[in-house]
Amino acid sequence: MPLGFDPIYILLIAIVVFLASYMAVTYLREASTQKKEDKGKVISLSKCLNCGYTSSSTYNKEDYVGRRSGKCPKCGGELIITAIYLETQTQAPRETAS
Amino acid sequence: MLIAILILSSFVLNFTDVPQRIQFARYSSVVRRKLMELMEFEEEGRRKSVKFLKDMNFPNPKGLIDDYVDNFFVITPVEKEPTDIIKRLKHLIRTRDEAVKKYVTEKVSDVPDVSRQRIEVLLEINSILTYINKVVKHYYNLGVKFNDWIMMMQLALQINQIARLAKAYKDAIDSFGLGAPVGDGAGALAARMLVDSGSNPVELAPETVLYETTLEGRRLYIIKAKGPGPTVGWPGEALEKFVDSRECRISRIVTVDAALKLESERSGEVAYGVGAAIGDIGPEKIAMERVASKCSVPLDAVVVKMSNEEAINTMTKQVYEGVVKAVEVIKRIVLGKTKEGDTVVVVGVGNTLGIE
Ligand SMILES: [Zn+2]
Repeated sequence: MPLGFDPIYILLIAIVVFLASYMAVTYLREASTQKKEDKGKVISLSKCLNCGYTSSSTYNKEDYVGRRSGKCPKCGGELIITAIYLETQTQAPRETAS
Repeated sequence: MLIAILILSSFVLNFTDVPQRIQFARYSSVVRRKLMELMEFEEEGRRKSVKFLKDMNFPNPKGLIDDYVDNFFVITPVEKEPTDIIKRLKHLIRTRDEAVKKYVTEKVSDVPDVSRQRIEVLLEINSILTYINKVVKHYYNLGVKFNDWIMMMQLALQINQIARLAKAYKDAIDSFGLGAPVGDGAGALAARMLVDSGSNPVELAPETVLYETTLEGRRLYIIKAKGPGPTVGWPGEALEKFVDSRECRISRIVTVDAALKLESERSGEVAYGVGAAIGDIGPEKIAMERVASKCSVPLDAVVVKMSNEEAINTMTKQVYEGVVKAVEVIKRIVLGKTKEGDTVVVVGVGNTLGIE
């Protein structure tokens, strides 16, 4: 009997192909979920109490909301930190308003 | 031949436990693999905490953590006899808080409050990681011991969610070490954003402060935990004290907090309703409800939604945008539902890390 027409043989090949592709798909899926580690960047937003000028900078360890962070480059008024948050790369970077 | 194989295999499938045994082996290997991951999380968390404490010049950080984990549990009060249960619960919680505080200050006497609070949070996270690990190990061992494939299957199906939670706690060690606001601080941040930068806080209750400001003719009192250390304060007690001191002359109380979102909801969505927005096991929440009903002051709730992971890690931009929206909602409530000259209290609930 020619091999190609044996139904059990065909069934076996189908099962092997199915199992192999199933394992490949699960493996790929696991690998793709593990790669997505995007730490992002922590931003401190400061605002001038006098003229409303705002600027953003990279967070440093002394920062907290409500901290006076320096002088305003426009009018010399006091800059105060109004927000601190984590910006990840997947979001569109926002421009500094001035 | 084929027929014989079919009959034999159908016998094995239908009248023996062999398929379940095979499944048991598969599911238990899944659990074992994830359990290794959980143990890594625990160890990594421990390592990071030790490093953090070493950087603070803390003597014997490892001993500090090891002695804390497993201890300081609270046995919930008897519920069959509910008389004064809140009082009893509050007493137990305060006792525990005092004990934890003493535990830390005993080791280093002149530790500033902010550092002490951070150390307490670190100890708590390590304790949680160890606990998660122990519970999973418990069910795994039970399953193996009694060949309980149903238990093993349930554990294998749930363990991804458990591991996700454990990872969030592990990452939280970094976030609390960093000192930037966490997602749970949404309520505190929203409250802080209502305050004029010039106003000075008054301490109302332990680790809880009161700010005074105005909004289009309304007198606004803001209650939140005292920052920038990681604490939640006692907002219920503070509100109670404040309303009592004003002899109920308050037009409205607005509470704002972070809330867990459902899977289908977006992070940073804002919703409002009625009630005390606070994730508390009892005493603080009931204090708010009691004082509001005693004085029949309307009690509003505004929440910013986020996932469990976001709540305990550095505040994401989506959540921050939610906070900005929540501030608008609070202003709308105050302007729409009170008159000029009225007094309104806003309670910002949540962990105030990184928010003064
Ligand atoms: Zn300026």
